[in-house]
Amino acid sequence: MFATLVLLAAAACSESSPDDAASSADETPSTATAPLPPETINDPEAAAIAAYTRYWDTLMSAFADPDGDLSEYEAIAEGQALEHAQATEEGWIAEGVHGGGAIVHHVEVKESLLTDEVQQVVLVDCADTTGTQVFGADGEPVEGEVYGYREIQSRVELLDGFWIVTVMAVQEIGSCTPDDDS
Amino acid sequence: MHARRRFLTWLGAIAVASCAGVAVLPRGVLADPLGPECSDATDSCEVVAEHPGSPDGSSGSEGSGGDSASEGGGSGGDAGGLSDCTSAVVDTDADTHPSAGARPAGDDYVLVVETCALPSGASVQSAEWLELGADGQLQIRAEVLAQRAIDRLHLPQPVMDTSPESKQLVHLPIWLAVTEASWEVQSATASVPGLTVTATATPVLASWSMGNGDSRKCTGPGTVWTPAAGETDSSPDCGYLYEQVTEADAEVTVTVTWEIRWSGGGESGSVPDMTTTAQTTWPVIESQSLVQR
Repeated sequence: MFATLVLLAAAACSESSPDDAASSADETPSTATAPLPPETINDPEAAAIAAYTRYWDTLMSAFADPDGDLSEYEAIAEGQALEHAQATEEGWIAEGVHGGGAIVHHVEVKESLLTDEVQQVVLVDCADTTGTQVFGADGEPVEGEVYGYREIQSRVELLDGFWIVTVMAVQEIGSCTPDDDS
Repeated sequence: MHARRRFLTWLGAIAVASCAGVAVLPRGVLADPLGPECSDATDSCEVVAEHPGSPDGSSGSEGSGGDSASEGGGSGGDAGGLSDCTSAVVDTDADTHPSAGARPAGDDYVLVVETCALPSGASVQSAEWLELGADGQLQIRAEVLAQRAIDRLHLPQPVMDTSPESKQLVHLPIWLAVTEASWEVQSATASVPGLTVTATATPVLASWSMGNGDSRKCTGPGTVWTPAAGETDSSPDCGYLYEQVTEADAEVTVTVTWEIRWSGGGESGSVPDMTTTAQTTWPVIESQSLVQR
């Protein structure tokens, strides 16, 4: 029942180790092949994972060059998840930082509620941020920044025909370890 | 925020221990590529699927064709606890449920799922098998739901708002008070379709232990001192005055007593009181000083 997927937030970046994070982080990720829109995927759980991936792709794209355009998240997120994305980018701008690299996601379906009226999927992710790096306004890596594995639980819902992320709960560094088989 | 009373003493600086906690935002949280962390304090890190609640919070039941669900709902006024709960009968042929367990033997059991929203937007969900009576009503007593609602009450720890705040002079009246948020009626609900029970906690007593064997009982939160009051005026409703210094810092405790009542389904009742408490320490020194507000 539970699917486990390993996903890269920035599709062009291969999985990075902490050692090569600095070299890859300066590069702006590019997408070799555009992922399928969640709305074109019939399987609800796969569609939810695709919507979750789209959320992080959008956020990581902004991470490379935060421009303060917070409206771009409105098409992919609502409620607390929308606030989370907007607060995250606002935080980068407030601190004068940007970043790069790729988050490696280890996503599982935790729970599904699929009826004629409700299409909801709860995902749990063990996200690895060691392949990312935060840079200050001077372009130098921000000292003291901590990277690692963080558990993320999220809820994705089919709303008016669109798969929308509605809850995004990110836990502290070290809150998870990826399964060996993932 | 009102101005605090403070004192300039010729005794010099005195280190004052404080029990107040300090929330520290982890460094780099906002710069982190994943963004702000969820708050464990509100259990918002646990995300579950939830049935949408009926907009008007109405209760009732409806047919169970297909995967349809009948819902009941209720809202509590407690911003810190489970504040908005809905329940639904889920039409399922399953013999087991991850949280409700195995379906009891018999044909008359239905799965009831209750979802409560957290202030963060996340939600918590519980499920149980309940028996349907011959009248088509769920067989659950109001007292059972009442206990569930009581368990969900989130009573705030009292926060002292005394004046002076951190050190005391003998013969100078202390205004004892807790913050407004420490003295607000709290409520929580529990529901199944057709029946919602609300539990209410009302603060009724603040008991102050002054650290020298004396105590003071107040039936309200106390009045917070403001500059409009005189420098040496006594509190109109909840005050204290040390008459001699204490050898060590006085350990001061305030305990708030909450009266717990519940109602729903045409029934009501009460359970034993609950208490919340907070503690601080302050030195009590001679008043050989210039008092300045």
